[in-house]
Amino acid sequence: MRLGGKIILQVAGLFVLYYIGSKLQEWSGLPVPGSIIGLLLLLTLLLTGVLPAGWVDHGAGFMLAYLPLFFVPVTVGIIEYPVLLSGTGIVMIIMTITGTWLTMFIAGFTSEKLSKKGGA
Amino acid sequence: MAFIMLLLTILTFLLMGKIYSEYRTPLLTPVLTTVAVMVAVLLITGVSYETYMEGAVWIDRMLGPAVVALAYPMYRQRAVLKKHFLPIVVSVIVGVITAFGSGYAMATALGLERELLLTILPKSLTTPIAVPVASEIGGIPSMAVAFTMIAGFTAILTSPLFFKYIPFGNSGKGIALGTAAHGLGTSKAVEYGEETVSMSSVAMSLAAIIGSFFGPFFVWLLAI
Repeated sequence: MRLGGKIILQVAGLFVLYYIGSKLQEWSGLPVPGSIIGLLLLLTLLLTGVLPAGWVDHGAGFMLAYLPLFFVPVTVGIIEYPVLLSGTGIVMIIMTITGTWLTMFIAGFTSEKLSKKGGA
Repeated sequence: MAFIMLLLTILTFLLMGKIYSEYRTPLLTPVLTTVAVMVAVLLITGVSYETYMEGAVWIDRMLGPAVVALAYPMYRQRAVLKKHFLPIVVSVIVGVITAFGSGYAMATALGLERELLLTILPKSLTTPIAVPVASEIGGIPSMAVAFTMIAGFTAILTSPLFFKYIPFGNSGKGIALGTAAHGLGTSKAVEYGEETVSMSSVAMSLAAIIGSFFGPFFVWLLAI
């Protein structure tokens, strides 16, 4: 049961970082979501070596394994927006498809040009 | 009732995960099937979303800390990023600007109302990031998930044809998929090999970070 304890402790650590991120957002008034500030905090701690990766690996692995479950509740909320099934919804779907192709093209094209120049 | 809904959501998700691992087709992605089942349950039983959320909020509260956990896989990708730093960073920045810019241009041209415009803007970002970004900029998070999924499925279903006419190399394919279509795009990258997968994963992570700063900035800059 040592692994179980590790997971619980590390997940608790992630909650603390999330809480700090949210508070930092409140104080600073930065328009960036608190969860992302928490993410950058953890990334900085890992990259600088202040926090060894072994202190978060199991907790992060656990949370990411169930990540899709965590956005089910918010997604079920589409039940309150029947606009998705209207003509407007179809227009938005077409925009999304077109935008995705355009983004794939521009991002991929830029990468092709840059890696050729760099000789990679 | 709220507690039953909480339990039912978790059980449905676990069951759908089992079904998915059996068939492995993207259309059976557990989020998609679980949401479909829960929406059907609410419609049939007449339970309101508000009542549903009284229980499901316990699952919802895990989303924030899970976003923080994304730092760990990003940390592990650092070697790939370091190796191709400039091409990756520049391409992803250009890609994120294209994603937000094209969404804005099309929505404005077609006269989409403001709230819906803000809802489709983060569609290229990975779902757990698109949710808080949509709510930060004033869009509707639940609908944003739907459009994020549509962006992902666009890449999954059309990329074979797309890359047939636009023959990017392996790393270009990865950058294209990860920047425009996050995790679902990355799942498709598996078909193009290891290099495409690692480029796609890095592009997805980087797009998530850049997008969460660029999104609010873009909305402020254009005074949307």
